[in-house]
Amino acid sequence: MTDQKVLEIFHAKSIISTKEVQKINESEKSKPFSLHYELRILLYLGIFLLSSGLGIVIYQNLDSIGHTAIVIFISFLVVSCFAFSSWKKQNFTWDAVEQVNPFADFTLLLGCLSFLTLEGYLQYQYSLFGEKYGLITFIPAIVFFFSAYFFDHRGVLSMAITAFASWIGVSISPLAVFSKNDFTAPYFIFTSIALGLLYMAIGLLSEFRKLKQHFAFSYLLLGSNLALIAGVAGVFSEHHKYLYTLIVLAISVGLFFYAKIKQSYVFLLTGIVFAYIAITEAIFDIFPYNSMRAWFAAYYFVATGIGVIFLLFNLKKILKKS
Amino acid sequence: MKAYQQQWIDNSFLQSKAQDWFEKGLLSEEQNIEIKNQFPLDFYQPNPFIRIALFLFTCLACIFSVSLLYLIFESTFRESPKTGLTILALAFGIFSVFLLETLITTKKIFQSGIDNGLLYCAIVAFVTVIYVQLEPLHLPAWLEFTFIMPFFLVAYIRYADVFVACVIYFLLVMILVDFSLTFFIGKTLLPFIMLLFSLGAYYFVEKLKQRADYLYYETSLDIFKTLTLASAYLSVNYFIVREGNAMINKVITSVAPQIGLAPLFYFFTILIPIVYIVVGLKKRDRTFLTLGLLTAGFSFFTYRYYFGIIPTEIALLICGTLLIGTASFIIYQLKQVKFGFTYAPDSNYEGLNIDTLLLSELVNHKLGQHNDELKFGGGSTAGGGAGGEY
Repeated sequence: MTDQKVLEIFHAKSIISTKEVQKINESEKSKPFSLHYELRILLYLGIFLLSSGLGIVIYQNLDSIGHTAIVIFISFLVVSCFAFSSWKKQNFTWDAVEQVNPFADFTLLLGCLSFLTLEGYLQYQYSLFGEKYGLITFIPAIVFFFSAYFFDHRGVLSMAITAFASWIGVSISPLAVFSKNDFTAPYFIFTSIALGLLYMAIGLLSEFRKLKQHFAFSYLLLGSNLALIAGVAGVFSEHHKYLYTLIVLAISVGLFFYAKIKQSYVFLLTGIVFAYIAITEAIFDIFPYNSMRAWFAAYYFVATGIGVIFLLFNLKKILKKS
Repeated sequence: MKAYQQQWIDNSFLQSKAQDWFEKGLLSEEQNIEIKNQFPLDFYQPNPFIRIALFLFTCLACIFSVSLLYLIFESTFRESPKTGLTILALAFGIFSVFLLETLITTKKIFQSGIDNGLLYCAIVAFVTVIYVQLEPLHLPAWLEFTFIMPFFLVAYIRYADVFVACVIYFLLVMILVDFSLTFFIGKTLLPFIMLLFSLGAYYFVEKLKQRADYLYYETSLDIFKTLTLASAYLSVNYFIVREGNAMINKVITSVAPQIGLAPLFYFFTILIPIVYIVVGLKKRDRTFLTLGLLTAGFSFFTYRYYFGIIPTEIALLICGTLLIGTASFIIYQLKQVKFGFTYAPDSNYEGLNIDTLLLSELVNHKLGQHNDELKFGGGSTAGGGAGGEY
């Protein structure tokens, strides 16, 4: 359906006047074509390729270039990136800051990534931090958190969240949560849940105290994901099964209400899926291993599947009542 | 013919247009509300995340209803597994379609996750039936695909489902490739056959877009368009043709042998991305533009795969610098509208908020590398090379 046709329909119902039809037509004709996302992706890709290439070149040409030259070069890159971002920075507020300069975001990102390279290089070559490995992740975490709030950058915030988790010893990024973390190690589940809950608490605080409200999503998404995955790992483990089931349920219920208030349904989805897994595992743990188990499983999944569908389908009605 | 009411799709299109104009200040709030009242959304289509949840749980319920049926008729299965499977799949397929139709008419679900789940389950059931029947005949693959095609076509025409549309296109390509490979001449001309097919399909899709009920199929026709453009490029891309040729003729060497008409394929590999980008910019067509950028990337990969003279890291540096330079320059130029282009984001074209996840992934990788190197690699130079492979 063309815009022309749409306007005809609205006009026929006498919702809009002939004059407005003309106005909208003109506006649609002169509307510029936005290349925002295409250009952004190209720029991101460029930064990614450049910082990858830089990493390789530096390690390969250690002998010929000389350490001092490398350190000076990367430091220069880091400093100039941060300097440019500071120069173009808007005044700090606890709200979202409208970026005026389109490049300040990217230079900050390039600066932060190069900072990681620089730091790794210094430690690798000069053992800057000696045996204190913790500092390698702790310092970026501090720098990133500061930059994220100071320059109002959500991407850098998620880098900070990851670096801090890494300092604690937990991989928080969505793919690595599964592959890199060893949930069978003692205390690991507990640490992960505690960290996840901490992030969720910070997220809620920023949301309801209006301290960089738009940061809440990153904290809550990464935090709840970590806490729930660790919790479910606990449910499947040998010890304190039911305690972990309760924790997962509590977090899920919390997310459910948060999703309801903020209309942010990604949290509803995670809450429902994890709660379902935890409850199912707990129930099957109780059910004895005998010939009835297969029957029970078939009936259980059909009944609960339909049950959850029914619940979601009537979500609006249920939410209205409560 | 159609399962959903055309009215639903039309109204939701009208509402989204009105919302767009309202956000740009071309319509007043009263007008927007009036349009919402006049053209109500009288169907059930929840938020995308709820749709995902509904889809998952529909599939769960479907899969376990089949296993429940299996448990009930287990003894029959043991006696004659083939008949048992046919009857089970047929019964389940018919039941799914019945449920799907009932829910659409009574509960007015429209692409809600439930209907998608039921539709896919029904199709899988019917395809299983056909496959079980055809298995003893040992037919060639293209003929088997042809036999299951009607289900997908009927499902597509009736439900206009995007995933079904993708499957149809892949089936068509598979049929054509497999059929061509049975002839010597088909083998030789395969790239051109595929190119012609893709172009033909493209024009067919463009023709379909002129139908009066185009809106009903809008999303899936866009998918078709993307697929035809992608397959047109891939069918004559030098890398695909050269490696594909080696695979078809079962040549096992470390480097696939050179192909005939190589210059022609170089030409296509270079030309098509440029054409896509130019058409995309000229016709303001995002599908063309996006595919142009993607195919340009693939062409570049093709070039480096065979003729990579400069080492990877230098290529990375050059490309990175060039990309940053070009993109920065264009962004700088497009701060004000020029030639009808702008850097300002479209209000109605919202990107996914996935940079949070991507950056988290990137930093995790980088930090993990530092840690591994330092804790286990010590100061050995061998560990250093890993530094750039994120």
